[in-house]
Amino acid sequence: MRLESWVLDSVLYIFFVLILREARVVFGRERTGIFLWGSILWTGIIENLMVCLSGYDYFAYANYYRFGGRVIEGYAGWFAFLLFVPLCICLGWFLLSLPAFVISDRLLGNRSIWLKASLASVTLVSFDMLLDPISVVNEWWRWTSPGFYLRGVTVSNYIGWFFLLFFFGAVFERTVIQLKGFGWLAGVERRIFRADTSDLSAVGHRAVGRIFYFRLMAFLPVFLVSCMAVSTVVTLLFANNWGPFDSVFPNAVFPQQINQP
Amino acid sequence: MKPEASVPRCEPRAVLLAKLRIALFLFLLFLIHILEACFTFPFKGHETTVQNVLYGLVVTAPFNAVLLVFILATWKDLSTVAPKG
Repeated sequence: MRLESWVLDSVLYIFFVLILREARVVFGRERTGIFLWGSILWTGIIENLMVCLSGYDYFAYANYYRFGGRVIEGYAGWFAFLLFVPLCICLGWFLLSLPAFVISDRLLGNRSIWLKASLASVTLVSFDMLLDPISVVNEWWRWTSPGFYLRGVTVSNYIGWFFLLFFFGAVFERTVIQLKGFGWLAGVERRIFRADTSDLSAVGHRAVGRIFYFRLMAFLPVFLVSCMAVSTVVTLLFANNWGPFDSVFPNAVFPQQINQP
Repeated sequence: MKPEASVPRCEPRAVLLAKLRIALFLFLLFLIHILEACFTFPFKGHETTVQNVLYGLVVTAPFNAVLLVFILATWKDLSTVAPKG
């Protein structure tokens, strides 16, 4: 049976509301707000970047959907887009990563932020390994890049999911929970925020939010380098699929492989 | 963050119950996806949807194990917090 994209869209929006409601009780309104806007910023930028780099796309199959361009004129298969990425993908990441973060926080207590981020990431990837093959067979989204594919999903996707929460979780824990800073960013932050950001315990939540968003942007290149490095090694060593589809944004690096039948 | 803004304003019991509800919603989401895997097409490389379900149960084993440990730990925490009144 074909499952339309609106099924996933609806499920994610409903669970987003449910998780958001409980998160406000667990974390408080301010921290939950910072986590939510940070999630949208973090995943919105990275997902759009990956679509533009022809890693995958969400809308090339729009005409296959029941309502795509027929019952609802201009409907691209998803209720709302954040540039090239469905909004529910960013909210879906929030509704999965926040519980993973809560779980690792409870189970590992005062351990290293990197260890806690690793547990949260493994939990998240484990869940995603069920969701993505369902998405592929229902053509909700597709991967268009060469790589090692498992059940129609490139392993680079799981590597990306791991690092997404690994860095986000560690930065959130250090900035918003512990109210501390990162040594390598101290100098830059002192210039930008005109304050000592190594201790945020006397700072208002709006300022903590701004510092958190800045740190996410600072960790963006770290995320991309880590992700690309591991993914490239996996692709070079184990690639079993050289991009079976034409991408919406064709990749100039692998043109001959991408157009292979 | 200023102390009044940094801590949840709810009672510890309410926070623990909210954590349990989060775990419950997460498990519900897992069940929905297992049902989807059961009723949709076989995954790439699979021939039947039974294989989908078995694959789903295997790959989500770490997720379910961590979720179970979390529920038990939170349940234990809840038993140490007396209900209000």
